[in-house]
Amino acid sequence: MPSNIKKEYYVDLTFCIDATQSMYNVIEMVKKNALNFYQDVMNAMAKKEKTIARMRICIIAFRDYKYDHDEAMLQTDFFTLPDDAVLFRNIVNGIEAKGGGDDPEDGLEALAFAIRSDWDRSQEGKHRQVIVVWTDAATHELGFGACDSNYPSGLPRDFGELSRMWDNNDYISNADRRLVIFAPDLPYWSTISDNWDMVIHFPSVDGKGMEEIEYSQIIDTIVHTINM
Amino acid sequence: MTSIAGIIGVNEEKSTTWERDSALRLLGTKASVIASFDGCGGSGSKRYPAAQDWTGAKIAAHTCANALGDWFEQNEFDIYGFGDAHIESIADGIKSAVKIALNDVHQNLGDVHSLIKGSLSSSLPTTMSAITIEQARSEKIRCIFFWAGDSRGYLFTVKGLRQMTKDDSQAKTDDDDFIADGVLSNVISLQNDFVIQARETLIDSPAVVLTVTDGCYAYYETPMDFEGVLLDTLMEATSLLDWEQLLKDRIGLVASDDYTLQMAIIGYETFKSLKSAFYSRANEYRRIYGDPILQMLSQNDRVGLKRLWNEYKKFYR
Repeated sequence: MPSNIKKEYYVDLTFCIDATQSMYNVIEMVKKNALNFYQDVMNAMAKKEKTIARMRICIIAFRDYKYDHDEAMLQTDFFTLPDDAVLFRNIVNGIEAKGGGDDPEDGLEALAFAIRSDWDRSQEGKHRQVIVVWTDAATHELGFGACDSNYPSGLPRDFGELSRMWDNNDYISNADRRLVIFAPDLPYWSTISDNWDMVIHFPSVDGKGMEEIEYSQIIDTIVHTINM
Repeated sequence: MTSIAGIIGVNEEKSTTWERDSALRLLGTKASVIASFDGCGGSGSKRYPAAQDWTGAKIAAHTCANALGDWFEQNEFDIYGFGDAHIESIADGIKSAVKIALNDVHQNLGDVHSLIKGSLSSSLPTTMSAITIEQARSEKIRCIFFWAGDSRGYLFTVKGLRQMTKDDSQAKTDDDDFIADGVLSNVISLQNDFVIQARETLIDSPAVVLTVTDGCYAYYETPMDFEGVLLDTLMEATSLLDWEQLLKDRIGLVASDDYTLQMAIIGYETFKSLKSAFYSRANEYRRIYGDPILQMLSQNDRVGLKRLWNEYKKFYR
């Protein structure tokens, strides 16, 4: 009795990328692979006899409100791949590794935006809502850059509130959420991986621009979390 | 003495990239044990040069299989049985044995600090499904099903197939979701705490019990199909070895993951008597479930399948 079963997923990916100066290599890697990313993920899924019915991706490029002001947080809409691959590539090409000021960055604010992404909440099929964070720095406390006029309203006031957002099914599906962190084992990334559910954290070396990370590892990890 | 007529084992690694499953079968004079283990992907895919470049998942599955076997033999359960021991204490014994074994092997891997963190990561992770089998004081057979994760234990009789374990999964739906889609909530691993679940039952001989990893059951359209595979291959087989090979071929056709199956056949004097006993069930299954399932699938009749499943699971769970 051969099976025609296809395990098919509707996948939304939100990439939170530290866009400060030291992250040049990662940003160049994202740019270089923007056009082939979709097919690389599909090929990896096919090896597990699974497929993605629809993939959407959005980018949050983050820096530091206190030092980078109106360039501290840039979020795109969701692009549907592969149809919007060129558009996606063009947007990514506009991200420049610069700024940052001190070492910690406003990664928690980026994560708050990511949790509040416009996820696909339709009833059809199996869904995955995957947030991937790339940074070589620790995070500021939430609100560190609140003195800046560009700091938006409505963000969580503290880490506890951010944690509650992560567990709030109104923002992100409890069953479908996955958080992948490529970041140093420093606060608050370590706090998140020690306490939050549905997280996998690959510690990177502080301040080294994640030079040890390989594109294939990123693909493998994303595919793995989709299949979990 | 428990009359175990035979043990069938099916094990295939579908890809050298994964190569995670492992198995155990020990036949004793007073008690026996069969088990299937499925090393988990993710951080379990990390390779260890000190262990011939095996993945953590493969190391975990093999280590736990050996640990369970050693625990069983060193405590002489094979010779004396479990006596009046409660299932919780037996489960605790298994847990201790596998924990010690994982710790010991980890010390030798040269990887004292596991870097990967988070609830979705775990070092040396594996599922387990194990069944201990011994003659009870009455005429019945005492079977204890132990598990962690989504490897399953089944009881297979002429009345049908019964799932005796409950997947440790965070799936948002339960029985209604034909295809399990949840993160495992409980697996054996080095760094995270885990539970060895246990369920005891007294069964009438003759019967068949089996442990399987998810590669055996997860790649069909419905949970009802797995019994169809068992019955079809049994009816086609001419011997126990033949049945073993047919199962391997049939499961291998659809599974895209490693798979392991260990089956203990209890109380049947010959293969012929086993096959004859299930003849009626095979016909009944084909008529009530097998043929209708095929028809409903061809018509994409999900409502019909759901209705059939609701009937089937009255005995199945």
